[in-house]
Amino acid sequence: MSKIIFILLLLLASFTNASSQDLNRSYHRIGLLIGGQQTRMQDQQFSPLIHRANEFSGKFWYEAKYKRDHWNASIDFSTGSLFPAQFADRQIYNTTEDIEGNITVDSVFIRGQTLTGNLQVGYDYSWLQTATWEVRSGPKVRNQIMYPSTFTNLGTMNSASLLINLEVTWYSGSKTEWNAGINTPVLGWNTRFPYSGTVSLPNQTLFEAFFDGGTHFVSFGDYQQVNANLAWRYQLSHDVGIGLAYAFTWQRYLIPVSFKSYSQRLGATVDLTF
Amino acid sequence: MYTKFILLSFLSMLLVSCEETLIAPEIPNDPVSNFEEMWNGYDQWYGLFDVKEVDWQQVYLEFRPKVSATTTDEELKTIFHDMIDPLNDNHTYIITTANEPRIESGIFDTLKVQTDFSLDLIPVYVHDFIHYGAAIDYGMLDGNIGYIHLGDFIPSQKFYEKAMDEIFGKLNDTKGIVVDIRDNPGGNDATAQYVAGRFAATRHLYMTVRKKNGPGHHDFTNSIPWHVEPTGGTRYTKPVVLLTSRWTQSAGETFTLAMNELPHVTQVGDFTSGAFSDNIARELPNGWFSFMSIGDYRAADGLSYEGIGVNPDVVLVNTKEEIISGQDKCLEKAIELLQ
Repeated sequence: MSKIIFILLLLLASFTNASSQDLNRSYHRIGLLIGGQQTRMQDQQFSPLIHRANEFSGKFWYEAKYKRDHWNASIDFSTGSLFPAQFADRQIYNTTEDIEGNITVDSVFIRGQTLTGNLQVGYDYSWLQTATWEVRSGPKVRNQIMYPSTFTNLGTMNSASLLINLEVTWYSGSKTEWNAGINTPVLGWNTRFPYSGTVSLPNQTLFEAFFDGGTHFVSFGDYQQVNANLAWRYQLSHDVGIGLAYAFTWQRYLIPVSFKSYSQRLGATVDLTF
Repeated sequence: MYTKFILLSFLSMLLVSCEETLIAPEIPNDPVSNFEEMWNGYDQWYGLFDVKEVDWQQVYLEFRPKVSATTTDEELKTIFHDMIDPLNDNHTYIITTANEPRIESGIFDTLKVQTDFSLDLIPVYVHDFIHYGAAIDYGMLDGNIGYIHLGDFIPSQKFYEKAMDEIFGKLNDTKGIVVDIRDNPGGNDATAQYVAGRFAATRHLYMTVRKKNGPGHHDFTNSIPWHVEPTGGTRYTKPVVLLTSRWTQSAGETFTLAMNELPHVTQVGDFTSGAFSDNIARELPNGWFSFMSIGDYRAADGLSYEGIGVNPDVVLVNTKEEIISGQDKCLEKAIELLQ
């Protein structure tokens, strides 16, 4: 009987210890994502057409967790060829004639190229934390730049925002976890080309004139963006994890003229915990 | 893991079908849609209807009945040409995606080739002709006169800071300089302002600019003054002759306005192009691009010279035969004025 009680006590102790370890998840982790992204955008300031891009995307992040505090920082980018679907192989021609009557015809494909980047730091507090579930939320500060180089100036935007974030993690097994999150900007400063579509101010560079002439303080009423993500992670070894991650972003900004876009990214991840 | 990948991929594919909801329905590509988009684009963004005295609403009433579902591309091009022709604006044109000339509004509808200037002829007059990057050439003319060719104002201001430092370092002891912008198609107005400032001793207003800030024909920003004032380390304030032609455009013309406010500058050659405003490109549903002026640029006297150009102090235009025979009369006149 005493042996049975002793064994039961040992089991109880081990269970309690495991729960404590789960509730006190603390780690430093760096991760890398490589994947593909699909973007659609319409910038009515410069075009009625919907432009499309299939992009290469990468992300590097760092996160630190200590008990209920979760710090994170990340940088990501995506780039790809941008064009309206109907005019993927569009060219424009330039014919010049010199004084002696010699004619030269040059042509160039006018596909654009996207270049989008995000730099983000955030903090979340885990206000629900059990052996199998964790719910956390907190603020993020992010600068997002969209700099497509196209024949027009469409799609160019910089957004420096304060976002609110909510994430849920389900530890479905000893080695697997699912994470779902959503965040949205609540206020910030957005910069696009002013209504005229050009930037040229006296005694200023184009960069200075872009920010001077096109920046507006925005809140949720002016600028809507939803970022949602879903990820699966598998603890491959003591230090290394692998996974798959899906991210979706939709945004709408009406200053000075309607700009809408959405993108979705699917990527493979690898991370190192230390 | 395979199941997870399938789930995530399914989510991706689901959203592909939601483009119309998340963005907008695709605009149809038909003659009527193209006409409406073209007319609306100019209606909401073109900044010179008052200056050009064109009733754009009347243009709609006149030309819309000519467009139907069966209008061909060739017919549409003719309609677009006839709509923008009265604007007489070298910054207003339409580029198609075929191998054909663009649809012009201004003098370049008929002026197709520059026959009054050839950069190849300049080394005949200029000793030690030096190419500084893609945009600048300089050297010495007879009689201790310097020569600077400014091909455009596209490079950054930093490029011009270094360029003008080097050039003035070599031409500072001359008794005069010829600044040649006869083939300058423009670039950045602020860069042109800086370069003009390298010739300035005092501050002068040379231009005011207001740009469209809304869809109404009278929706403009406040007028912003542009001054030419001393810039950079070394400046050149001895006599200057500025050579211009009908092919001097855009920032080349705002540069001309700035230089003309300087008392030691004389403009020789032909009127400039008459296209001062910035312009933008907007896409049409058929993939063509419509370009349009978006601002109201005025000289220091408060007048607009859009469609007119800046008139020289000395009007002199080379003929094609003179250029082909190896004579640049305008340059010779500039040298004569500086002797």
